[in-house]
Amino acid sequence: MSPTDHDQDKLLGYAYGELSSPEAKSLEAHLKNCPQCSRALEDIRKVRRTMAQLPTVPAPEAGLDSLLAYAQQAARRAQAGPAAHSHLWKWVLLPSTGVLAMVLLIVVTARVAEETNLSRLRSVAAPKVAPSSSPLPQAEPSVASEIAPAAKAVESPKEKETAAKAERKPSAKMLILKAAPQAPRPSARAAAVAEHPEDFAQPASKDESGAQAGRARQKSAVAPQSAVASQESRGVAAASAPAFLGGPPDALDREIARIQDTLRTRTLASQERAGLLNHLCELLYAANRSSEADSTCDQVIRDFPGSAAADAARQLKEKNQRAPAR
Amino acid sequence: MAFEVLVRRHRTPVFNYIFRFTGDRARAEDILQETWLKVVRSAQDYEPKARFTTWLYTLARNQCVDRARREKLRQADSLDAPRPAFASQGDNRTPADFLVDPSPVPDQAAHNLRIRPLLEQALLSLPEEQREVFLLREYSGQSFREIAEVTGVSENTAKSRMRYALEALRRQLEQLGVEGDWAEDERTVTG
Repeated sequence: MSPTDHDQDKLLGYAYGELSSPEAKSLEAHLKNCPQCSRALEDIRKVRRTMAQLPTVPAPEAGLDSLLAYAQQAARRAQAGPAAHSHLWKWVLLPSTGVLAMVLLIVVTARVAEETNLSRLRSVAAPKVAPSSSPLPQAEPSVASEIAPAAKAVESPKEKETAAKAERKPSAKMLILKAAPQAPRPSARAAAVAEHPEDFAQPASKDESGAQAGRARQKSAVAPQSAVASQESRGVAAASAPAFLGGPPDALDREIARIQDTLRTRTLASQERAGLLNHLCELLYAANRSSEADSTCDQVIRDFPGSAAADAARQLKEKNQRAPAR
Repeated sequence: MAFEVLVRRHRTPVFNYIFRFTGDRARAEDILQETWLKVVRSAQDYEPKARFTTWLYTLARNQCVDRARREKLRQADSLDAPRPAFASQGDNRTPADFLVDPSPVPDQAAHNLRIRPLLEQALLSLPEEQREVFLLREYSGQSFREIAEVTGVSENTAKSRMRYALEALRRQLEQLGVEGDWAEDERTVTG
């Protein structure tokens, strides 16, 4: 007769010393009269004796130091307390994530808007542009740094040379990208409002919002180069900010002079030239040099009849005649 | 530092448990490190009313089981495959190579050298759930109640698995030509 499961559990407990003293004595008494249980116990002991010959393998030392260092670091963090973690999360991580998400959203929106405008411009400008010249990227000042690679992708060899020169003169490059005739851009306005809400306190009509966005562009366009670099590093919203307001009073005039110099000394594709002239119009209106602005707009309307740039110049002139810029 | 004392005290026993569980030294080293990192990360979950070793072996066992599940998806062991315990040490003999060994036994050291892989093979032949119970009871000194806690089964189930493990080992050792009476003394690691 073989031992029952209950007996075997007792035998296991006995073999491993887990029985209480009375239980052990009772089992020992049973074993004297039960050869099956005695044999089962002996089988257990044989296996244990054999398997006990398996040697202990020393643990590797590798990794011990790094583990202890990690534990010390964790202990220090724990001593700092959970409040520190929540504090960090609340005051650093959350805002950072929020800002990052906002910037991403704005960049994506601006890119989509950019693509849309680029397509529109291509369709309008294609019949009027010489085959060798490609459309001027419709760059929003706020996304100038973002779209630079895309602009390069559509450049002709001649424009590549121009761009290469412009890169040696960063201000010129920036101006070219900023100089396209513009329709109002909700994303640019949103970015500018987000950065400086006080500048956009008045509810704007559709036309007014365009004028205001244009002013925002003017302001960022005439920011000192150091500020431009800073804006690029701060992202799209910052680039749309009216940093110009904090600049020296003659910054606008210097920027106007620089554009005029560029127009005078450099060979530009017709689209680039038209865009730069329009940008000059905006700046001249912003500087209250209305007569010069009007004549510049007229020049665009006259030299580029039927183009999108001419339409933009006409609208710009009309708006500023209705409500002169600051 | 108290943690260092704990690590130094339990590192080798835990490593042996993991090594015998997985049968692969490199994998065991990885799991050992992961286990101690888990100890650090989960320190706030440890309840002092439980024995530290019970908690420690629970973490180690979970790491072993998780790793074994992942490995099973990749490969299946067979008698013809190199034994995992020694494959990493350049020993590609199969278990069948150990069944017939005509060489004489000059002394105890040589005997131990020959018998050790057989014992390891016998252990690895056990189903995982029996092997872990045997290892925890025989080499790690955990009681059946603690083993039940570590493995998440009842104490009776743990004992039942231990009985099956002992019976399977007895048969496997006989098949491999290893008998318990070869052992020279009655020593056991624990218990």
